Amino acid sequence: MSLASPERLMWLWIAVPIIVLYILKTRLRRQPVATLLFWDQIFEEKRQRSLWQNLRRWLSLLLQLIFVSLLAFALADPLWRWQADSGQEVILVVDNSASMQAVEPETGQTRLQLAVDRAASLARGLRQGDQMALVTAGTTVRVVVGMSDFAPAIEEAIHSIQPTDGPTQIKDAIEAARRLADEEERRRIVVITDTTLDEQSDIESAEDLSWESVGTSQTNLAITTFQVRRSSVDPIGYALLVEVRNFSDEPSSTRLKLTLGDDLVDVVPIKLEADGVWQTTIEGTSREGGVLTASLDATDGLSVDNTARAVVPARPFVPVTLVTGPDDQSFYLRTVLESIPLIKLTVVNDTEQTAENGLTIYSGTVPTELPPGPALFIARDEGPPGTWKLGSEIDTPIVAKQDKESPLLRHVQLQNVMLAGGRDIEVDESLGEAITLLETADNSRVLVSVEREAGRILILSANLDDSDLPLRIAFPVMMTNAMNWFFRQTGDMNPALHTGLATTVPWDFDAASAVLMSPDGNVRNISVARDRAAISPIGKAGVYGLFSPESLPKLDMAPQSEELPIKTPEEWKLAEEVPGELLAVNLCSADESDLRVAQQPNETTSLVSRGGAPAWFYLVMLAVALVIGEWALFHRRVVA
Amino acid sequence: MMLQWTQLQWAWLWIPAILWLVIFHLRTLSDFPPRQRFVSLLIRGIVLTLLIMAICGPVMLRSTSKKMIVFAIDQSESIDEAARETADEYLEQAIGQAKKDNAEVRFLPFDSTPRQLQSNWANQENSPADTNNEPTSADVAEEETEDVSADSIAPGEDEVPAPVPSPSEADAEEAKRMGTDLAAAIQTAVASIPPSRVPRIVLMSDGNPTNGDGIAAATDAGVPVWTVPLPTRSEPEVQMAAVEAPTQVRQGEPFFVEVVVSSNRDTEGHVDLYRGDIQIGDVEAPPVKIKKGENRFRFQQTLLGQRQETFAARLRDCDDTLLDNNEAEAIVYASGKPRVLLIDSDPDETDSLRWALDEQSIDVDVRPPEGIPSDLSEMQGYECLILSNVPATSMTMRQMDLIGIYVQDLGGGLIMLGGDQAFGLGGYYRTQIEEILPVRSNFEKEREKPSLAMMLVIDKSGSMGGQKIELAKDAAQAAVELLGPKDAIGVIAFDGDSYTVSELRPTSDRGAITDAISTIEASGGTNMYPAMADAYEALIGATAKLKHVILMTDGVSSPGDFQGVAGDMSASRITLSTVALGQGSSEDLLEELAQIGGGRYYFCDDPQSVPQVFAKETVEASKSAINELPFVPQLVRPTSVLDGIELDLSPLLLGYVVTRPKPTAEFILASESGDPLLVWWRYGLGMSVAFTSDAKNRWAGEWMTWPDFGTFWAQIIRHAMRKDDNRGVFVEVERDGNRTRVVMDAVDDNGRFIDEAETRLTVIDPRLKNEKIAMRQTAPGRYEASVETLRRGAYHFDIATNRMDGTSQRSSRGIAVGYPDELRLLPRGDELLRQIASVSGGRYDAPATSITEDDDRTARDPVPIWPWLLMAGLVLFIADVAFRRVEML
Repeated sequence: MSLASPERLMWLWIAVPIIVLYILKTRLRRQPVATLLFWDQIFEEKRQRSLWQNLRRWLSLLLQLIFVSLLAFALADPLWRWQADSGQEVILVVDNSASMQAVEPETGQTRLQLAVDRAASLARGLRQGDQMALVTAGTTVRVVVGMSDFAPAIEEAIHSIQPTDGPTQIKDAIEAARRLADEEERRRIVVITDTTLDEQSDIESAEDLSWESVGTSQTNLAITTFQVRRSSVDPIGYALLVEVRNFSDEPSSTRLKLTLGDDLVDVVPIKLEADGVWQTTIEGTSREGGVLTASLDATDGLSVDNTARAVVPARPFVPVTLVTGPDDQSFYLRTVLESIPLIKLTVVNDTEQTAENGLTIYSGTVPTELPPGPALFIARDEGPPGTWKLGSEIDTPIVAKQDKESPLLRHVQLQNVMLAGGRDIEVDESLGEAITLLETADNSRVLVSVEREAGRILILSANLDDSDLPLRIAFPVMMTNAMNWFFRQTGDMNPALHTGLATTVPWDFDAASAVLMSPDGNVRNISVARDRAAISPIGKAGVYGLFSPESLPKLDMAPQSEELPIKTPEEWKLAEEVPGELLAVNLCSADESDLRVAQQPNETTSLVSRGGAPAWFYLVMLAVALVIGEWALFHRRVVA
Repeated sequence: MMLQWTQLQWAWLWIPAILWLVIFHLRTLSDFPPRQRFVSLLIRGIVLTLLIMAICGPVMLRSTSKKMIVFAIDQSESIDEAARETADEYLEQAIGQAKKDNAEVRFLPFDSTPRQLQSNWANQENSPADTNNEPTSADVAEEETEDVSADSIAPGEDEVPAPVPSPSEADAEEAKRMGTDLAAAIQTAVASIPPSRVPRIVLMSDGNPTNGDGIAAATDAGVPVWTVPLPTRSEPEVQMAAVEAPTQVRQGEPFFVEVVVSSNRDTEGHVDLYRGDIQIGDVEAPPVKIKKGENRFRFQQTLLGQRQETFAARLRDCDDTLLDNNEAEAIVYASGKPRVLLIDSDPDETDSLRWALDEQSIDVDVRPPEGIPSDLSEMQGYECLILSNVPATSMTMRQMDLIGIYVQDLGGGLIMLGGDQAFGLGGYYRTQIEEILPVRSNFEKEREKPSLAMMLVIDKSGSMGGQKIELAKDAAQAAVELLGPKDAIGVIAFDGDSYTVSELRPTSDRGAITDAISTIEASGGTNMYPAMADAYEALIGATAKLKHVILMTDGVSSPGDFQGVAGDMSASRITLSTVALGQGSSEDLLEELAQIGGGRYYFCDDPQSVPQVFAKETVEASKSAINELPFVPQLVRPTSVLDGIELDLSPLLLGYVVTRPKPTAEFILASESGDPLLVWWRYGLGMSVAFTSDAKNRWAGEWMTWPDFGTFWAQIIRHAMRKDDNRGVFVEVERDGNRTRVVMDAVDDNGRFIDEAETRLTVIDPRLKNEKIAMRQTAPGRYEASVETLRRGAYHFDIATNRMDGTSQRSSRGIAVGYPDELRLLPRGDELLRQIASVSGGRYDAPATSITEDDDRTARDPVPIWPWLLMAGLVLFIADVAFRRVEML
């Protein structure tokens, strides 16, 4: 046992005046009496007692001296052996990941509360000369308190730890902890988590690491994958991938409720084996899209993984302008176009009118120059200069060859179909790369697609009013394919993010910066580089909004004040024309949802004292006992 | 000022303790006057109260504005000498200011990891990057160190001189410097400030992190982070920052290859873009202007026909310091018709095969053996590789390894066609290619074949030391293994003299001969003549029908009548082949000797190829590997691959190379004598096929007129090649820092997403190591995996998908990783530094003199006061005792 402040032992000198007070004969009080007769008698009787009286005095002195030494030693602050290798640097790593929100059925406390209690008791055991830091390991690694020797500050910080919905980052946290204290001999890392060491096989148990498990095994049902995307064939369709897992050794059943916005989409009963996985793809249709929410009807250990959200991107209407010739009705074409969802059709007969941001279809007529955007030509004449030329009429324009790989002809079988008015299309090289899609028996190209920077072009040389083509089922399919091809709709998605994951998302808006609004209405700045916004790890699941900062004029960057009703990102998006996207953030982590704790023998002994009190405390306690004990002895005249 | 009790739960002790005192005070037997007794009680009560207060652990929280400033100083590779000087200057001022204002300072150097926290700032003069800089005088360095120590607040800790790093440590150090992690630096800096000080972090960096999310770390830090931008490299420097191109394009779809050039000054130079090996655009184009900062040049491209193309961009004629960062490349993949690479030693003879395959819509590229791809990216552009009569000696070991990886891990197809340079005759014995092929090139030599006596004459001079002599010994041992039991072999080694290592004796005594060969040690000079004479002597008396000498040397021999011996050999029907090993051997002489001796001459630049030469020579000399009797192929094992081909009607083949099928291979066609003609097997993910006859005039002259010739080959090639059918599959490869994410979107022919498919990703890294990872389905039709791509070079990915309906599909992609991000010439990351400062409430680019500037924050400095209470108690205790000893009142 060594002393933290040996210089304070000089307080032992206090013993000197005390001894002096005992050695000094106390001045006897002069008391005149009438006779000494009785006194002498008593004196003879009590001669023995006076010996005791003497001894009583020395006993009294001894007690006083013990008291003084107890306090002087307490002042010198002796260190226990566990404190003696002084200058320990203890780093508490507290896991505040999603699984720590699991409620223990016995105590009603969450695992995080247990961990916090444990950490606080460790912090109380902190001694002078030791230092402690606090790192949290949920979602991201965060240093809450730097190296400090002041336990209350650390305790305060420990109690301020909030749960997150993110995955545990124990490994990174340990790495960070190691960086905080680089002397291996003095470093002690105490990890308080519900993850067992063997699960994290890539963490090697090391000398400086001690592992404290909290929580007991619990069963849990969780949505582990939830992602929606637009269909690549159906313009208003979407497909949803959902995976539900049973983290339990018992079979289980539940119901999965799906809602899109406020509308109920489906309720799916699910039966799961022990450790079972249920995965399916659910298809639906919606043009407007919105937030698709799935919730499991389950009361289990963890609630955050019973809900998942994903954003179905809205499919905008595509403006299509059909330009017809002066005496051309294009009846079939118009009917087919009107039947395709998402098309906003305008019919004009002025060749110079084009669709803004949309497709222009020229039926039986050609403009003097090509429109800036994508265009479809039902060509009966040559195109504008430098575009294409048409060959002479073909006798029997029967389709003989079809490009089977082109997305334009998916589900389309046009071989042996008569294309009345078909003529060979010869595309000028300057226009762009031309791909022949349909060819007749005499190698005339009757359907050609052209890749052009300003917008794709599709040229069909046919007279639709005389041809078989519009009467076939293939025609509307081909037109739907063409719409998809023009606008490159290839199953686009607005991927639901996972908590704790840094990622970038496309940012197609003009603003050079963006703000991320959390479900509770708080905003933070997001940097944008080359059309992608960099999202740093998000700690709470929910629907976030990624907005252009200028579009939220009323919003201060500070948290919204209480008088204003807090608007969620969804409400902002719905209520006003706010440029930006909604982002769904889910936990979707099998590791976090698995609440089973492998029963491993809890770490033999923690390297930090288990909340024991310092030695001075016990010394002072003894002194207190002594000082009141001695009081009793004195007054009962046991000691002088 | 605030008092806090840390153990308030002990306060209850006070009540019983005081009661106790009072009770005994009342029931006292003491004869002191009551007033004195009362005062005594009072004093004892106070002492007791003080002790119990001490037990309750009071701590006084003193509000303090005393700061601790941690300077996190970027030391990574992107910080050059000039920047370091700027940093030092700033620090010197800041330290002075801190001293004046009584603020504590700490220093945290960092690069890809934070280093040790220091109390004193001494710029590491021994950092590895400085070794090439002008020598700094040790005196000056010492002085500087002392100066700074005097300035800084805390006393210097014992400075241990840095141990001289071992090479691996130095490498690790170097690797650490190849990165900047602002997030880790901020975290560590935050953690090093105790809560008793007002914290402030000063982050000094060029703002170009390579990993870590600095902004997130700063947001979480809760400590103002002041940022001080350090200048980026100042020497003239132009870099090829990136070649950006889509990973996958459609056939014929135009796309942009974007070349990003970074420069730190306005300059001029040439930006050349290469597509494969061909330069795009005008070779003599005028130089382009390169502005300071990032420059982007766009080239529109389309892929037609090709499967995979590498776009490389190079910079030249720029005002530049570092030259090895002037090149970058990107790999673009396009779906389309299958492509096959046909390597033939005589490309002119391949026309009929090529036309036949063209008919079957298979694109064929024909190249001579020199055109064997020497990198995987090029090979990956083809679904199948056909080696038609290509000897092993025309390939390097690396090329063979690449073919191995191409077949085994990337699922490519390999077909070897026969000829006088193929299989055993091509020297493939014990090579990587033989390993892949379904046949072996060593075979049971037939009894009726003529016997062979062969002498190996091997140079064992000093210059052959090390790997060369070992390879020569291996080669000689392989030659022994390749000979039949009736053949004989002898080995002579020479330096200045000639040594008979093994007499000419039958190869039935293999063990003894190989043992003898293994005793050869390299030493001495080079004199070829005596050894040649000995070899001649040994063979002249032999009874074998065929006699052959292989002579190998790597040097120039002392003079002798070499031509004479070679002539004598020739006259005695002994053939002589010569092998020159490496530049500097007497190549002309050896070539002449081979000519006189009626053998072949080889030049091996790489000693690794010596075993192939010996194997080739041995098989060739024994004249047993070719069977040139016309035959009709015999179907051994019916297969659906040959459906629709009427083999019964096939014309005669005129010859083939004798091989032996491997046990598990599928033996499809045989010659009339039962030797393999067509054999295949699956090797790893790929397929290899051996066809021991050929597809040209020599042996297949009649076959080429057969109507099924084209179909036969098309079906075999389609069977062997990688089923790289990418309809509906779109793979995106995104690199972000050290990781690359591979995302595959898959739809079926009807445009529906493919779900629940089992998907595996094979990654071949630049060292040609492979790794297999399962891809996870993350969305309808989407599968993802993430791999670490740390090394510079090309990574190849092969994605194998097994769908629910039982069909499977493969896709191959690649990515080129350039030099480390740390070496990128980036403009200073002012924006990032500004944001770090703003999210954390710090300041950007504040002058050093304002570094201690006050803000409203204070810290609470805790002072434990239990010792004071105890001291007070002790002092009072004297009075307590005095009142007992002295009657005062």
